[in-house]
Amino acid sequence: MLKISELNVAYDSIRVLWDVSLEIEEGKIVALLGPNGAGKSTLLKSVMGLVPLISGSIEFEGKIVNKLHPSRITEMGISYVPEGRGIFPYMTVRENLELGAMSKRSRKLMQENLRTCFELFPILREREKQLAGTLSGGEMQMLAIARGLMAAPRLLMVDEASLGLAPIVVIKLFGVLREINARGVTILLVEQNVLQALDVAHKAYVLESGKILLEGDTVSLRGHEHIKKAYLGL
Amino acid sequence: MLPIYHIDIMINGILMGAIYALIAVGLNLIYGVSRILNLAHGDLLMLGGVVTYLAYNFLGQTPLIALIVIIPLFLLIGGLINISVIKPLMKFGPERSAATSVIVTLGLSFIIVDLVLFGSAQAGISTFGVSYMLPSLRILDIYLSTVRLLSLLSILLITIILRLFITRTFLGKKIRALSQNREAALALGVDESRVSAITFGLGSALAAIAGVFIIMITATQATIGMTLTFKALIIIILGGMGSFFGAVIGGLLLGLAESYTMLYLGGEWIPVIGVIILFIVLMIRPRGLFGRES
Repeated sequence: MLKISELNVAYDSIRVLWDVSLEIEEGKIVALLGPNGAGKSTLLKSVMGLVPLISGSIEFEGKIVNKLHPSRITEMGISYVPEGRGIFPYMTVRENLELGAMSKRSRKLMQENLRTCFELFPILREREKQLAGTLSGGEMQMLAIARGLMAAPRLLMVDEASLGLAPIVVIKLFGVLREINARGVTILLVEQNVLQALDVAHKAYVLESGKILLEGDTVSLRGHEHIKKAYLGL
Repeated sequence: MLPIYHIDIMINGILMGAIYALIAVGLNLIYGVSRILNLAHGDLLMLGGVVTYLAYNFLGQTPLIALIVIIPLFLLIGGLINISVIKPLMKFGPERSAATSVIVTLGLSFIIVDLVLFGSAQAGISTFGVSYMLPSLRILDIYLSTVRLLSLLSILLITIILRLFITRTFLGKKIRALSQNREAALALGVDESRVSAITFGLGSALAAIAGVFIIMITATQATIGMTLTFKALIIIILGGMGSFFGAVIGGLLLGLAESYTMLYLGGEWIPVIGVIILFIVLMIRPRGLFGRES
């Protein structure tokens, strides 16, 4: 579904990604793991067309997307939930959700997708008319994910969903991600919460210092020496 | 009871304040979306006044008719300024473009002012005035200026329409989204250059509308722009950066304050009263009256 080949990205003169290649099969949950500053967020941003590439290609469903404007990429069916729950604090929950439906295609599906969002996150229906800035951290993250779904994506990319959330909220959130996946949305998950991510994902990549260090199905990665030592503290 | 002239002073203060509010709301909108401080904002206002002057004195059109032409005209002019002058700066990223935009819009201000000065010198005009009058309105023993009341009403209407546009339409929501969280808005696929151009057009139209109303109150000169830009700046800092109501309340406050300063302290105090109020407000509330935490 998504195929990234030999991607190189730099901010000004600082190289962030080195020949990164990655492939995501339709219907799967794929986790992208790695320490702070490894380039995980940059990878997601380059898929969205938010950072310029030096070289490499990004293919989505067989079409090259790396020269496209973010709005075109959303339209094609990729949705990005940025790190730090990038919500609009002085707009209501409802307005935040509406803004998720940016493309023509998703605006037609707005009512239907709103219903799905409220089904997945019932708390958002209760908070519908509240300013998003007044939500709790967990609720903001739910709103960010729900807003991502409003674009009616086939691929949902979630950046650090669990950051700063209580463990119980994280478990709930990953449960909903699984449910979203079961409804047919492929998910690319950037995570520092390795244990949870390996639990929910089918496949994982480990990115360190801008390079893919490891890749494989989560069952075998869980037993890998490097993962055990560096990420799971075993 | 207050003497009758207080009603006059109050109405003048509120009208001037409403005009200031229009200027400030426009400047604030542009700043919110593009983080661009448009120092030519007041000069667009002056241009709006000049167009009104030309329409009135040479084509015999009333200022309110001129308004109907001025709104789309300045939407277009503002949009074109954004595309030709501001957009090329945006590729340096928001931090650097904020600084360069100050220089660029200052240059733009000089160009606009000099063109108008040059043009008016050729035509032998030094001030622009419109002596548009309507019969006064008499309520009990008080005469009220119909033009001023009509202006006030029009500004109120424009403000309400603008507010509805920003809160209710999808485009308005995109404008708010960009000012509240640019990164997130871009990630959702908001077309920044298009929305910025429209916002710049909208802000310019608001400035030009303010120009129409100012020229009905007082004759203006080509050089009034910078003073008004600074007043608008004072107002948005006073009311709180990014706040619509802050700009409206800040504008009304400054208008009234200036009006009463004229009465009690004398005209020479008018230029400083805004700065004094700003100083006091910032001491008590550093983010302005309705300012938002960033």
